[in-house]
Amino acid sequence: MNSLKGKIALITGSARGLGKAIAERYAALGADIVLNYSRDKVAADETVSNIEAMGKIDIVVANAGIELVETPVTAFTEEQFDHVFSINTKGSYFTMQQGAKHMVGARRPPAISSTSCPRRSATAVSP
Amino acid sequence: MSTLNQKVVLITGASGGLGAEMSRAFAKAGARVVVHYAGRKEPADAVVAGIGKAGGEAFAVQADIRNSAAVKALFDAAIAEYGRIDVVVNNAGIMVTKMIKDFTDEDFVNQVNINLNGAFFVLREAMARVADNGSIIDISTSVNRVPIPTYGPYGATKSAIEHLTKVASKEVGRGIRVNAVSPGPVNTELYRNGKSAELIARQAAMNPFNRIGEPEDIAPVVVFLATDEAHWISGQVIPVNGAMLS
Repeated sequence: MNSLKGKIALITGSARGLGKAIAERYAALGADIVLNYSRDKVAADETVSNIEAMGKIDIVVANAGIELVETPVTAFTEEQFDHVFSINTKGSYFTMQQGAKHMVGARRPPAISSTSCPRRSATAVSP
Repeated sequence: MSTLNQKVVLITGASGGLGAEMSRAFAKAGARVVVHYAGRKEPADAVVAGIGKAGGEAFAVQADIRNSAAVKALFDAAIAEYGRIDVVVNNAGIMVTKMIKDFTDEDFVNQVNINLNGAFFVLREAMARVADNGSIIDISTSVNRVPIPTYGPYGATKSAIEHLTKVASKEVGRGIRVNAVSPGPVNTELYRNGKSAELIARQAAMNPFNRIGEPEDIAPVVVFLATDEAHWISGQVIPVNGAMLS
């Protein structure tokens, strides 16, 4: 089975849930793990400076995300919209950007972005 | 220990190219491999011998998959030898590349007969005979995602197989997963046949790794889909093309 021994993995949103499961699996395969539990760019940069101390990243999992379900399209506020996009889209973007910056020169740089399954059916929630 | 240890894997079209490499990869993971071939007996025997030399287990079976009775006999032979089948890799296929206007009736019938009829017969038999919690992997292509001249009928057969894959995944039950793998260009005889060095170089330049794929790039993904770790992936078409297209 594939080993991740010697590899360093950053997994955002890894205190619980899917991120935690990914971190545990990678650790079981021998990787060194950097865990992250915050939500904003500032904290992401902080995490990255911890990684800089390690010298490299091999794997980045942009996993941190939120869902805002059961709020119909007609009821979403601008604040809610910004909140979801800030974490899910902006957060993932800057995580991957930092990952890409730290992987320059790697021979086989794996980068994995985790997203939840896009909804294929719309459920109407009556007001 | 690999979850494929002692599992029985039947791979159609395994005398060369991608099929041969998948046979070696599965054997290395501890599986017992049925190396199917249609006409190329010596190359198939060579694949088996190579696996034996590396400490693995395999044997070769001939069958013309255009004939559903022959497909049934192929599965009979595999089960007679190894007692069960856990994984089927539906890989055998041909590629006739001509403009639609240049396709003869015979060209079209040949293309469809193996890639669609034959693959269908193998899929149907696999759904009936693969053991509980097994895995079926249909080999597709990437050329059915963009309309490239001369790849019409070939791409059409693979689009058909992908649809069958998805429906099969819903129908089969018994914990069996059915997926397809869509390779980008792979350095095999089937791919190189009829292509100039310039064309191959142009295709190689279409991805950030600046090379076409090798069978060794595709085989590990197929092997993974057969493992227990992939048990929650079903009904999917997995593209493996080095970021050539997405």
